[in-house]
Amino acid sequence: MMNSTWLLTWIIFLPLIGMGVLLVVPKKIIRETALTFTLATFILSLLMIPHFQGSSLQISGKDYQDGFKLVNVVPWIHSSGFNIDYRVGVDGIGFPLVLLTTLICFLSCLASWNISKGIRGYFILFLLLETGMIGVFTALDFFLFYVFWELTLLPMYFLIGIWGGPRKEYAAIKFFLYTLLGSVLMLIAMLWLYFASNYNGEHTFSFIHLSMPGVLPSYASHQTMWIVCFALLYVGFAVKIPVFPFHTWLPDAHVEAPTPISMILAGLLLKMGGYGLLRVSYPVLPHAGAAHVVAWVLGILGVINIIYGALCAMAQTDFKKLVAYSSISHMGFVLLGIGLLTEAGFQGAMFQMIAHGITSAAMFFLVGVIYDRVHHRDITRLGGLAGQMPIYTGLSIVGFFAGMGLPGLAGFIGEIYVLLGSWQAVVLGPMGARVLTVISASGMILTAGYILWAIQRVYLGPPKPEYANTPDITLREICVMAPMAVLSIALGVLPWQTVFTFANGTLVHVLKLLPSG
Amino acid sequence: MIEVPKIYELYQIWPVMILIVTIALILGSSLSVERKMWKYFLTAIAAVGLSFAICTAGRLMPVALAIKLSRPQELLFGKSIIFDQLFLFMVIFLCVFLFGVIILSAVLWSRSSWEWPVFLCSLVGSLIGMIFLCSTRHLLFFAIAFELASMPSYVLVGFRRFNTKSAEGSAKYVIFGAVCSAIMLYGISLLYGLSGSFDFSTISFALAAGGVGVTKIVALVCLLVGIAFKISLVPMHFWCPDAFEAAGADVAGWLSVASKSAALIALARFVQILHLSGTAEFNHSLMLTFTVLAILTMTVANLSAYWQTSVKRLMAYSSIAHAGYMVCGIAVLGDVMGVAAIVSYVVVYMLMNLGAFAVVGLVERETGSDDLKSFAGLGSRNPYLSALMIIFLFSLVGIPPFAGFAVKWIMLSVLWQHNLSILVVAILANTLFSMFYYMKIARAIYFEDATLPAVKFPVLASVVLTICAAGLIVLFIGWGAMNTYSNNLITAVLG
Repeated sequence: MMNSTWLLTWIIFLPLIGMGVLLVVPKKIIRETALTFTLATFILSLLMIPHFQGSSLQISGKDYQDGFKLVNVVPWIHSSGFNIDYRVGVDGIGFPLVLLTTLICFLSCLASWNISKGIRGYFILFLLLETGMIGVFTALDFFLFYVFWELTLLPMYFLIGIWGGPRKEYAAIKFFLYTLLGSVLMLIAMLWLYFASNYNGEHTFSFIHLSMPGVLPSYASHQTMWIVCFALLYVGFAVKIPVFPFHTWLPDAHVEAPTPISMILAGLLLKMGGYGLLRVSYPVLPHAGAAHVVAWVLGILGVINIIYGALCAMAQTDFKKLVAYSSISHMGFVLLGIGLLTEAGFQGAMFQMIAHGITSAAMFFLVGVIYDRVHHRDITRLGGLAGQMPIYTGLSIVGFFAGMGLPGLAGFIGEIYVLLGSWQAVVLGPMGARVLTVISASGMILTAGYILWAIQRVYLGPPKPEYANTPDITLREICVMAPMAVLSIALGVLPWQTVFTFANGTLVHVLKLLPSG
Repeated sequence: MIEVPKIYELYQIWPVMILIVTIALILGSSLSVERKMWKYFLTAIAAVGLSFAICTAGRLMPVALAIKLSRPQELLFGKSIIFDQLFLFMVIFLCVFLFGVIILSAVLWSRSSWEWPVFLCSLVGSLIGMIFLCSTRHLLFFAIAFELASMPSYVLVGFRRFNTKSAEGSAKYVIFGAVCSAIMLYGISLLYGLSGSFDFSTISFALAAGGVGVTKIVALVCLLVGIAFKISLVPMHFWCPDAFEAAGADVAGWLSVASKSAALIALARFVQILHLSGTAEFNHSLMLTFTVLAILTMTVANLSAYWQTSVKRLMAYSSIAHAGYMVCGIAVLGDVMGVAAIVSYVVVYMLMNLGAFAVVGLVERETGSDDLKSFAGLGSRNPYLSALMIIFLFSLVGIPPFAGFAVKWIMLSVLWQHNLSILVVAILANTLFSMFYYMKIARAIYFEDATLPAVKFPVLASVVLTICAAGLIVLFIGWGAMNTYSNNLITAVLG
C-alpha cells in the first residue's frame, strides 16, 4: 500500500505528468491518453475516502495534524528570512472539493471529445488547469496557494481565447484582467500577513500557523491591518465567486468558452473563491470576519447576487447566458451562508458549493449538447425538443430541476440550510438577518421562475419542423450526464452521508475560531 | 603621485585581459581567414575567449573571497578597479549572456557578411566597458568605462547599414548619449572641484562634511543623468525605443540587459557609498528621489508600451519598465537586500529577455518585419517556438510558475520590510498594466489566423531558447537558492 503521505502529491501532479506525456504521444490517441489520466486522478482521489470515513465531528486524532489529514510537507524556501514550504493537506472542506474537481475534470474530458482543432494543445492546457485547481484546494501554505491560484490563469486564458465562441478574445482578456486584479490585491494581503506574523520567532505562510492565536498581532491593536487585509483578500475571492459588482466577467467568459471549459469554470473555478473565504479569510482573520460591518456587507452582497443574478437570468434569450447568470445567483447563497457566521449557514454554503459544482456543470453540458446539434442557443428559436430528443429531455429535467433547487435534489439542501442559517444569524441583530432571509427566499421563487420558463420554452410545447431530424443524446453524452444526474439525486436524498459527514467537523472548527457575540 | 600597478593586479583582472586578447585575435584572424569562413571561425574564437574568461573568473572567486576577509576593499590600478566577488560575478554573468547573444547573432546574420569581425569586436568591447562600469568608484575611470560601453553600442545599433530606420535610431542614440555623457562629465568635474579627488568615497565624505549646497546637488544630479541614461530611467529613456527598433533583435537584447544591469550595479555601489557618509536628511531625500524615479519609469513605460505595433519597440518599453522595477531595489537604502534583489532580478531578466528577443529576431528574419502582424498565427506555424514565447511573456508579466514572479516577489518582500509600500502598490499596479501589452503578443500568436509561412531556424537556436525557458522554470522552483546566493554575494561585498 502506497505511503499515504504522498497520495495528495500524486493526485496534484498526475495531471502534470499527463501533460508531459501528451507532448509526445501520437495524434490518434491524444484524447484517450488525456481521458486515462483524468480517470486515474479520479480513482486516486477516491482513495482518500477511507481516510475520512466516520470522521463526523473529529478534527483531531491519530491521523489529523492540526485538523488536516494526508499532510505532506516538503521544505522549499528557507533562505534569507523566507519560510515557505510545499505543504498540502485535506480537511473537511478541501476533501469534497478535491473529489468534485477530479470528477468534473474527468467528465469534462469526456465532454471534450468533439474538439477538433489543436487537440494536443487543448488537452495539455486542460491537464495543467486540473493540476492548478487540485493544488488550490489542497495547499496549506499561502505562497503555494497563490502559485496554484495563478497557475489556473494561463490555461484558462488560452482555453477560452482559442477554442471559444465569437467574442472569445474579449472574454478571455476580461477574465484574465479581473482575476489578475484580484490576485494582485491578494498578494498585498499575503505580504502584509507574512511580515506581521510571528511563529516561534519566524514569519510563516502556513494557514495552520497563521490561524493560531498569537501568531498575528491582535485585532485590538492592529485593527486597520486586519480589516484592510480582510478586504483585500475578500476582493481577491469576490472576483472568483463572483460577487456583484465584480461579476461582469462571468457571463462573457462562460458564454464564449467551449462547453467543457464552461463546465470547469462554473463547476470548479467559482468554488475557489468560496473555498478561499473558508480556508484563508475566516480562519486567519476571524475578528475581521465577525465585525458587524463586514457581515452586513457580505450579507447584502450575497442577497444582491441572488436576486440580481436571478432577474438577469430571467431576461436572457441566450440559453448559455441564462445558465451563467444562474451561477451568479446560486453562488450568492454561498456568500450569504458564509458571511452570516452560523453553523447551518456554513454547512449550507459548503453543500451549495458541491451541489452547484455538479448542477451547473450538468446545466452547461446540457446546453452544450443542444448547441452541438443546432448551432445556436437562442431560447426563442428552440422549442418542443421533448418530442425529438426524449432521453435528452429526461436528463435535462433532472439537471435543471436540481439547479432550480427542487426538494429531493441537490440544489435544495444547500439553499435551505443557508436560509436556516441566515434566519438564525445573530451577528446582524434579529431583524436584519430575517429581512435578508425573506428577500433571499423570494430569490428561490425567481429561480423557479426562470428555470421553469426556460424548460417550458425549450423542451415543452409543439415540436418545431427545423428540429425534426436532430439526433438524440449519444452514449458518450449520456456517460457524461448520467453520473451528474445520479449525484444530484444522491446528494439531495442523502445529504449527510454524501457531504455533511465529511465537512461538519472542519466547519464547526472554523466557526469556533470566530469570536462569539 | 602615480601609483605603479603591481604585476599581480594584472592577474586579478585576467578575465578582462582574455577578452582584450579575444578582440585582437578576432581582428587578426579576419585578415588571414577567408571571408566565407569568417562566421564560424570568428564566432568560435569569440566563444572560446568568453569561455576562458568565465572559467578564469570562476577560478578567481576564492581569491576574491580570501582578499575580502583580510582587507575592506581591494582596489587595483591606482584605485580604479574594485576587485571583489561582485566584479567577478558580473564578469561571469555578462560573458554568459554575451555567449547566448553571439549564438543568436550567428543565427540571425547571413553567412557572408563582411562586417562580422567588427560586429563581434564591438560586442566584446562594450562588454569590457560594462564590466569596468560596474566595478569602479573612481569617477574618471567610470567615465572612460561609460564611453567604452556606449561607443560600441552606438555602432551596434546602427549596424544594419542600408536601412534608414537603423541609421535614424542609431543617430538618435548617439546624440542622446553624447549629451547625457557630457552632462555627466560636467557633474564629475564639479565633484572633483568640490572635493579634490576622483575617488567617490573621498568625494562623498567631503560633500557630507561641507553641508548642503546647490553645487553639490547639481553635481550629483548631473552624475545621475548619465547613469539614468544607461539604465534608461524616465526622463532619460527616450533613446531606448528608437534604438531598439533600429537595432537587430540580438543587439536590442544585449543592450536591454547588459547595459542596464551594469549601470544598476554601478549605481548601487555609488548609492551605498553616499548612504554611508550621508546625513539622515540626505539619505531620506535620496530614497525619495529613487522612489519617484522608479514609479515614474515603471508607469510611463508600461502605459506607453500598449500602443506600439512594432514588437521590438514594445520590448524596449518593457525593458524600461523592468529597469523601473529594479531601481526599486536601490530605493531601499541601507540594506544590502535591495541590491541582492536586483542581482537576482537581473539573472532572471537575462533569461527572459534573451528568449523573448531571440524569438522576435527569428520571426523578423523570416518575415522581414517585427510588426505584430508577423506574429499572427505563430501558434499554428511554429508550435514549439510559440510555447516558449508564452513562457517568456508570462514570466515577464510576473505570473507563477515562472521565475519572473519569484524575483518580483523577492523585490516586493524587500520593499515591504522597509515600509516602502507605495512601491509595492506601484509594482503590482504596473504588473496589471503590463499584462495588456504582453498579452497583445500572445493574442497575435494564438488568436489570429496564420497568413505567413512557418519560421525556419537552426537547432542551435532552439537549444538556446529551451535552456532559457527551462531555466525560468528551474529558477522558480529553486528561487531560494538563487536568493541565498545573491544575498551572500552582496552582503560580502557591500555589507
